[in-house]
Amino acid sequence: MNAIALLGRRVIERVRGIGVATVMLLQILFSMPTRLGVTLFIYQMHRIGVMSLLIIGVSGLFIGLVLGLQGYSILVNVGSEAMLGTMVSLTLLRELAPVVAALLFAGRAGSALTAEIGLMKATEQLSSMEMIGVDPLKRIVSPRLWAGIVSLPMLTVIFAAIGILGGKMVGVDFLGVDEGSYWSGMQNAVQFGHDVVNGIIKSIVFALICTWIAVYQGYACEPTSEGIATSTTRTVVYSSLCVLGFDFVLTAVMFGGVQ
Amino acid sequence: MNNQIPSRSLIEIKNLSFKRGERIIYDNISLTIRRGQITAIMGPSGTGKTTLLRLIGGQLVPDQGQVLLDGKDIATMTRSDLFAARARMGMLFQSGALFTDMTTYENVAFPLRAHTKLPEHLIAEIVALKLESVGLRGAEQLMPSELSGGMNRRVALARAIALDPELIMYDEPFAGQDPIVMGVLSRLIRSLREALDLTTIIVSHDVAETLSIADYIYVVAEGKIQGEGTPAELREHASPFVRQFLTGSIEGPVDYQFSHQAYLSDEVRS
Amino acid sequence: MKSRTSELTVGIFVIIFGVALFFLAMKVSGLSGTNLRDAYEMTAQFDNVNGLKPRAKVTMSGVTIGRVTDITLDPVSRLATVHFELDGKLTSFNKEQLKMVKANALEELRYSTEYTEAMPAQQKEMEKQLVDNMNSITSIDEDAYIMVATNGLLGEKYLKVVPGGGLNYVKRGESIANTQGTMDLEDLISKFITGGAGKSSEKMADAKTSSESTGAEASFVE
Repeated sequence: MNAIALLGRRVIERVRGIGVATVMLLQILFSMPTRLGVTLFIYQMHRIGVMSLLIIGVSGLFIGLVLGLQGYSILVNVGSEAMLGTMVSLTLLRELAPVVAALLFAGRAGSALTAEIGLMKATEQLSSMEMIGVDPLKRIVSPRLWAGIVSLPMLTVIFAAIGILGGKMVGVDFLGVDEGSYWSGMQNAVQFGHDVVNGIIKSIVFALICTWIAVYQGYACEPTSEGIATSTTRTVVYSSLCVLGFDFVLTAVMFGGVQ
Repeated sequence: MNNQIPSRSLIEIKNLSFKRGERIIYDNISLTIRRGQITAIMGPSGTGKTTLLRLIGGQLVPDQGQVLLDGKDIATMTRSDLFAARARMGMLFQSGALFTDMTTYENVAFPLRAHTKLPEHLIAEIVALKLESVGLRGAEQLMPSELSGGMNRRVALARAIALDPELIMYDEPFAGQDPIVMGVLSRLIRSLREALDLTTIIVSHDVAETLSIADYIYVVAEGKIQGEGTPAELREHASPFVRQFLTGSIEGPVDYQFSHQAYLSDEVRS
Repeated sequence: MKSRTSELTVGIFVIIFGVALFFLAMKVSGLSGTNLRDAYEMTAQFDNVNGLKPRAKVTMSGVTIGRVTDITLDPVSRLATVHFELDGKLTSFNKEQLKMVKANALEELRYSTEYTEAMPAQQKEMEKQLVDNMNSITSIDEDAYIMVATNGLLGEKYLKVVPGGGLNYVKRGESIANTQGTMDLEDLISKFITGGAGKSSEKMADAKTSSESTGAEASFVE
């Protein structure tokens, strides 16, 4: 009986946590920007967005290369290697770019956010800020949240573009697929409004999820070193699971319908 | 602020009760912080002394009872009132709690920037003044990570007095310091009180230093006030608990021993 | 808080993003390409459009001249109505060609029975009407037929316009009358079994005006 009660309490705690997190999110999303807020936001865009460029770019390149390689080896068996452009671009735009960029983001930027905010909490910086009368939610959390929501979609687009170029490098330059068919096949199959925009919408949803989880875990973490470690792990795990789960839902809604 | 002669007490805590989860931190306690005096709140580690400071600062809301600042209940203040009230308080946290991504200068200027619209050169003057008063003029461009622990606390003190508050609260200022730093801090606390007529609250479990500078002491344990008085009164205090605490002996009321363990393990966990 | 370098790097970040987005829009999804110049809509009705999807291409002699925009079902005739957009630049005559076409058409008109039997005033009417019609003419003649074709052996479906030999042309916005729907596998097999030839292309729907496709056998693989 005790085990069940414990489980119940845990679940209630988690649900309450989600409630607190939601209130926090809404408070941040619906407050007006200030001059100082914009400066802080830009600084966080640098810390979160620009500093992730390297991992996103390199990963995008490698994924594009692998897609090109694998795609070619599969398509050439059915004589459709001319479809390589279509395959690489659609896979990247619809699925891989939003999902992989989000997972990488959660690992790199998300965990850094959680650790940073958690450490601030543990060293009582958040408390002292509150005692001085400045709301740490506005000063510390909000710029980071917005920076995350804005930079991940941008990173996703860059990821997709680099990936497609990587696929071209492998397919056209190394494996001899006709450059014309690579691009024209792609252009025929890819619809901006359907594929590119939906991919961006996905990445916006993922950005919201990952950054929100990261920021909340930091804010609510136990102010010990163990607590920070737990929260950081939670950020990565929860973010990843949510991204994959929401990806399924979004894919079903966006691409599952009858065309 | 009322137009009458300010009353003798700046902060009044009336029948305060506060629980964290299942644990009762404060059970119907009342205490008074008098203006211009150094009031110490002492007790075993983990009794929630920091919590009391947070209640005074409005970070936490009591379950029952009132925390009155100049007669106004902090818990029912509007946001702007609370903001103004916080400008009148300075708090020095146990670890200094300097903002690690800003320079010393930025740290001390932080409250000034938050509460005033002073032009930059005036802010620079005030920061220099405050740093001078804690003996750290010249450390403006250093980052907190480049300062020693003691220097960290002094900068935090400069930050706490940046707005010339009426009340300053010290959370365990003597914890883990070497005797020289402790002496320096005691002197600073006293001279600040004299120079600025600051009302001071010290939360501590260091008996010797606290008794040497406090004007009035409350001994808090198990959610209740076990004893209060001036240092002299406290030394003669009848309560066995207080005697045991002051002398630091292991023997005393039996349940003190038992709960001391629990508090310790609680503190480690939380 | 280094604000100046941050602003610079974030600015660069935004520029990189802009370039990537532009690349995705232009090179990858061919956004500019889908802006058909001088686009106009036409329709055609089929008995079967299985496999045809919106945005499928419309070709004439192998050149993509447009895209399918919409496929609906007419509840009365139970025929599939396909709306498609055509590129005006590819399917219109330029000035000289238009002159020649007009001249040819006028000549044919003058040889037609209705004309010779008409009063001069009526003749003028008919000529004027002809010239008016020429203004929004396409290069698709009235004998042309449009069919659902397959790209490759197992590829996607698209619309193919096969020109006829007529000298009269369809106007913009009109319907192409002669259509050939998708040949499902079962239809093919039954044709094969009941004695239809395999790949030979027999004459298409002779009735110009009929909007129902007949069971004509056309090669469905191109």
